[in-house]
Amino acid sequence: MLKCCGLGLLATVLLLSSGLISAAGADPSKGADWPQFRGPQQNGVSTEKGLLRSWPESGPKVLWKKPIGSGFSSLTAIGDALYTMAVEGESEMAYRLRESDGEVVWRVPIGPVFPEMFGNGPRSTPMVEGDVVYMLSATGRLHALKTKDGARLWELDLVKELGSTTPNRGFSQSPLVDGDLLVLEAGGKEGKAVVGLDKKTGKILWSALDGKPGYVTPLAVTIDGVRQYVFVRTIEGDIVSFLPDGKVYWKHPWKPGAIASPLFLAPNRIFTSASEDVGAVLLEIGKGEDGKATVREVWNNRLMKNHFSSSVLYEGHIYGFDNASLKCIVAETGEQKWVQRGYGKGSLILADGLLYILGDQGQLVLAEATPAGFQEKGKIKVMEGKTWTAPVLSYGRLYLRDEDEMIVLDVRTPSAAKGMQ
Amino acid sequence: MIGRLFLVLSLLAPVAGAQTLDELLAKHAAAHGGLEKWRVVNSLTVTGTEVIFSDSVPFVYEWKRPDSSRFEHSILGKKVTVAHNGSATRWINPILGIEQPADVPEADAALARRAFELESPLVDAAAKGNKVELLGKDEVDGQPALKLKVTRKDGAVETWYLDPSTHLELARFDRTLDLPEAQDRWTYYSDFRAVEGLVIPHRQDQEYSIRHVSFTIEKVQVNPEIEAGRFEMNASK
Repeated sequence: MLKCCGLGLLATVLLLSSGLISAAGADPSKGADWPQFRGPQQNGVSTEKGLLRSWPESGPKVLWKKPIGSGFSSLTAIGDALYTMAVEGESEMAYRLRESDGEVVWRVPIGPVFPEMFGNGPRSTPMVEGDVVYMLSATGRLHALKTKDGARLWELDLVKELGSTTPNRGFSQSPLVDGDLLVLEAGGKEGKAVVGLDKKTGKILWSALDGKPGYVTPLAVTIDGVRQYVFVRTIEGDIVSFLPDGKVYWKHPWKPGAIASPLFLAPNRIFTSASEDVGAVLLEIGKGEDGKATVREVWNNRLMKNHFSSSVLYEGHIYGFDNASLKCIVAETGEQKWVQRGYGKGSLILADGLLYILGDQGQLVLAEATPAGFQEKGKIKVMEGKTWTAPVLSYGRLYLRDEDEMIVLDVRTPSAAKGMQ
Repeated sequence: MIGRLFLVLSLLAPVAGAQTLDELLAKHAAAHGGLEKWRVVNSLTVTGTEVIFSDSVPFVYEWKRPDSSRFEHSILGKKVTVAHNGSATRWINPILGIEQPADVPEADAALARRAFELESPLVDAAAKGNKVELLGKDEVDGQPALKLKVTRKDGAVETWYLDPSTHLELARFDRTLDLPEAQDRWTYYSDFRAVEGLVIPHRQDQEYSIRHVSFTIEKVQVNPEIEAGRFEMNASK
C-alpha cells in the first residue's frame, strides 16, 4: 500500500543536487571525498589516481592508529573530517574525528549497545550531505546531526515510531540521501517497509510495501533519465525500484538472503548477489512501449555469492568474495575468470585499477584488477582482530578498522602526495 | 554424434587407459610419503590454528589406530570437544546447548568426527574399508583435476579431486554440520609439507553455506603416547 505525499518533478533536481555528481566530476589527481557507504558512487570505487602500484615489504606508511570501540560501521571521509560509529560504554556513539590524527572532534550517543554473538555495536555507515551527517544505530535510531558540532537536528526511532523490528544482526543498512530525500528500508508496519523521509525534518513523505527490515543499503541510479532507488530486500527476497515520489517503478522477484550491496552497471543494468544457495543475478532495466519499466534477467548463477561484503566493477569484470573465495567474473556473462583463496571472508574496494583487499584476519593486500589472473602487488598484516569492515580510500589515505582500532595508511605515490598538499 | 562420442572417449582415454585406479591410488599414496610410512603410524597429535567466524582459535586433533579420534577447538568463545572411541561418538557442544558429554545423534556422528581429518581416505583405502571409483577428468578453480568418488566404510559419499601432476588432493566435496544442519562442503588442501616422511597438507580451507573454516597446522607429532581415556567421554545420559 503506497502512501505518497507527491513530490513530483524531483528527478532532475535530485540528480543535479546529488553529491554523486560533484564527486564524479572532481579532478581525480586531487583526491576525493568518500561521503557514504561504498564511496562517492556507492560502488566501492574511488576515482583517485596517483596511487602506489606496488608496496614495499613493510607496506605503505602508517599515518596513525587509534583505539576505537567495537562495531562494524565503516567510515565517511569529507575533507578534514571522518565520521563513524562505535560502542562506548553502554552506548553506541557517533563520532567526528580529525582526519590528520584521529582526535575526537565531537561524539554523540545515538542509542543503546546492540549486543550480538558475532560482535557488538553499530553496523551502518554514516552518510554526509552538506552540513549534515545521517547515522543509523544498530537498534534502529536514525539521526541527523550537524557535521560542525554533532547537534541533533532530528531523530526517528524506527522501532518505536514505525513499528519496525530489529533484524537478527541489527540494523545494518546505511541511510541514502539524494536531493531532499532520505530513503531507507525501515521495515515499519502498515505499509511502511520502505520510507522516503524529508532529510531536513525526518518526516515521512511517502511509505510503501510491507515486510521486515533487511540489511542492504538502497542504491540510487539513473536509468534512461529516470532517477530511482533500488532496494534489494533481504527478508522479502524481491528487488524493488522506487521513483523519488515513492511510486514503485519496477519490481523483480528474487530470493531472500541478500546483505551485500547491489552494483550499477551503466547504462541500465543492476547486479546483485547473496550468499548460501542464492548466487548472483544481472538485471537489465528497459522501457516498454507503454512507457513502463521492463526487467530482464541477463544471467544468474551461483559463482558469486557475496555474503556481507560487496563486489566492485572494473572494465567489464566483477571482483568480489564468493563467500570466502575472491573471484573475478565477466560482467556480461557471469563466467568465472579466476579465484584466489586465503583472505577468509574479506572485503575489497577499487581505485585506479587496483584492488584493496582486506582479509578477515587483518591481512591487507594490493592487487591488479585484471581478468588475466590474480596479481598481488603488496601484502601486509595490519590488524590482529576480526576485520569485517571494508576499507575506505580518500585523498590517498586508506582507512581501516576492526573492533578495537582504526589505522590510516598513506597509499599515494610521493609525487601525488606532493600534489595533494 | 560420432564427433561427440570421439570427444568423450578421447577425454576419458588418458584416465581410463593410461592410468588405472590402482595406479592412481598408488601414486597418491607415494605422494603422501608412501604406504609403508602411513602403515606404521599408530597415533597422531596435531595442533594448530583454526579460523572460524573470522576468529583465530587453537585446535588440537588426536588420532589413534584403528579409529579413535578427539578434536578440541572453540567456537565463539565456547570450547567444543568431539571424541570417538572407535564405536561411539560423543561431544560437549555448548553452541548447541550441550554442556555435558552426550552422544552425537547417529545421523550426525560421522560428520562430527570428520570436522577435521589428517589422513587421506584414499591412502590405503581398501584397508580402511573405503570404496573408490575413478570418475574421470574435471577441474578445480580452472586447474585440471582427477575426480574420484569415495564411499566411506560408514556409507558417507565424498568426491575427491587430485592434482594430475602431483597426485595430491586439491579438494573434496562432501557434507558437514552447520549449527546443526547438514550442508554441502568444499575443502581445499594446500601447503603440503613432509613430517617424518609423511606428506601432509598444512592448510585446509573449508567452505559451506556462509561459513569459512580454515585449519593451519603448526605441529604434527607422529606416534605420540595418547592415553586411551582421551577418546572416552562419559555420557551423562
